[in-house]
Amino acid sequence: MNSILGIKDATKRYKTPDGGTITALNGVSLDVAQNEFVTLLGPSGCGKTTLLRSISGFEDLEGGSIEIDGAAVTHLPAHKRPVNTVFQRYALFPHLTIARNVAFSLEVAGTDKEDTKRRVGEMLELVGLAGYGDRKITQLSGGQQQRVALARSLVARPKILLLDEPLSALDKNLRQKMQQELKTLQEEVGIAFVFVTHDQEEALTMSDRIVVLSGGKIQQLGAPEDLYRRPENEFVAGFVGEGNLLDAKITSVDGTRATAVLNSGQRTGITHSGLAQNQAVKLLVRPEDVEVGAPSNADDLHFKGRVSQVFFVGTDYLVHVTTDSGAEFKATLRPSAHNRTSLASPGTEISLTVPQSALHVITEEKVV
Amino acid sequence: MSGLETNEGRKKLALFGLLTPPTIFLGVFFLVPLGIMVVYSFLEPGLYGGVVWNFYDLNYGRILGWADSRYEQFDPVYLIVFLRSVKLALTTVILSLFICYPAAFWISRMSDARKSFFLFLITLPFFVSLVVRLFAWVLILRPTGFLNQGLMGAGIISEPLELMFTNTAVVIGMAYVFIPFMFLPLYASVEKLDMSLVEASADLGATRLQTFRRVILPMTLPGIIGGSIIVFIPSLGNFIVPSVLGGSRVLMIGNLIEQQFLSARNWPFGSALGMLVMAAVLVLLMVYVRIMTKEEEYANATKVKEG
Repeated sequence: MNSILGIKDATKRYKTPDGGTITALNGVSLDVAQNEFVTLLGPSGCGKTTLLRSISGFEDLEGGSIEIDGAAVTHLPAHKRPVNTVFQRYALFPHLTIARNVAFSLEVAGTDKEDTKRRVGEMLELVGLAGYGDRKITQLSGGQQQRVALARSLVARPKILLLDEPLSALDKNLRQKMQQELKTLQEEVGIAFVFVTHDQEEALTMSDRIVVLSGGKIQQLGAPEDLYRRPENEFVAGFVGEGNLLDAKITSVDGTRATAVLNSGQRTGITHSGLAQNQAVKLLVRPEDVEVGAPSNADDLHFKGRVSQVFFVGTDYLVHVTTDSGAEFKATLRPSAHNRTSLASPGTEISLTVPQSALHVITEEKVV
Repeated sequence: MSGLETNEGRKKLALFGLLTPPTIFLGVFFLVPLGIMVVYSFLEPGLYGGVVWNFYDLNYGRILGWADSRYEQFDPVYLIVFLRSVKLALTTVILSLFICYPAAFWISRMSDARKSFFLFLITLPFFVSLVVRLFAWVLILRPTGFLNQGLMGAGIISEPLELMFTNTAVVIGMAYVFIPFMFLPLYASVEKLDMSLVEASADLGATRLQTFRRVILPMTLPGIIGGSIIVFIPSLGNFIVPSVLGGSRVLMIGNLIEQQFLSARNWPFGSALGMLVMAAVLVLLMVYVRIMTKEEEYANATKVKEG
């Protein structure tokens, strides 16, 4: 697999008005393959936008290097880099027609008129706006403007397309539609997309790989399933998807098998390499893995408690349960499988089982 | 039922109440004098001042090329003065534009507190009388003034520069006086400029120069045109600056009009000259209004979308 983007040890600090410094990037290294869809995911202020702007050339790194297609671009100004950006609010030129917006990069590069016209036409067709060329930007809806922005940044055939939260201004239905279209478009044009978002659902839906950033550091880099199923630290576990984190202590280790004891005194067997006796760990349980009823297997965990809150989330219910030991526990109830009227209401006594196989061990503390 | 009991009726009454005072004020103090000027410009000047109530087109004839050879000759000097005024006014516009455009960018990128301070500085000259400020310029520009002494002291020139009573002095003075008028509309449109558009342009491969020409200039054009017109109009008819800094050597159309009314006591001819300035200004304003109407249509279209 050929790497189109190589970032090594990128570092960037900002000065705050009160004289302090904020570390926006703290030794970030990342490789992106030729036709990969990579998402930079993290809360606001995590450094994802700074990283994107360093790739596009709007931020100068303090340390580290950036290579695009094998050529060093670390200190190249933005207009000389073979990448284009789809901006958050699209940044379309209001004084130009749609066709002239799309043609902008070709015009400044001095491409001849015939060629420009042909490529603009092709691009508008690709994003489903054929025949819209003569309209003004202001005559378009948000979704259409989004497509013009895509066409404008793809027409010059960049080596990488950077997308800075381009879907955040759209309403939910349109956003979901555009997510699928973006993915399809990326497969069609076959170039690398680097997508910035704070929306974990969006990241999980579209990406080949996700980079979870926090405090200017990569917390985890991996396929969406990996991130969701096997988060490496507490931050990733908490940021990607809903989850329950149970404190536990390792009591005995036998190779990769270990026994952990929970605060409630329950014991369970877990499989994880590199554990030590008396080590404090966290056990992640996704709400959808929680079953209702008493355990059938002795190694499964069992909680009894009372439903404190119920959220209807479309296909199922997310219930918050206060266990008898006083902990908060989240579980997903499927209406088809359970009697929703009796269980999915606050105050109900409930018995929950966590199968041993649903436990994921997190050894790393919250890394910031 | 009375119309005043509906909301519609109350709105109409409010509108009437709000618009009546300015309408009366402008009618009495603007339209009536303007009407007198228009009428006078077509009347025969009286022998000892005043007017003779005869239709008389030679006021315009004297300026534009026909004259009654029994009394006076057509003299192109009036047209020359008019064209010189246009030239000086245009130079003033260009000079103040070159000073204000970069300043507007510079100030618009400042923090809010510094911004208001600099905006205050821009309007500061209004607190001092115009005549006082112009005499300060005399102190600066005259042969023994600060500028010449400074330049000679620094060894850059050996003889004092002849600055007083030249076109240069008048243009410097007018640019100085009208800079706030250029700055404020320019600043308004520079401040509105969305920096993400500038970034987008660079991202799409445009050099700084291309970004300026293709994005920044067209986006700030309304401010440039607005400021230019607001400076051009009072510059064209200005008579204080040329009389203080230009003396008798730089005569502008404003001085000519002033002389006709106050010294020559030829009101009809003064009115005709005034009409000439007004015609030039009206043509300019019509162009401006056409451009701004387009701009507004565009702005309205944006609003509808955002709504």
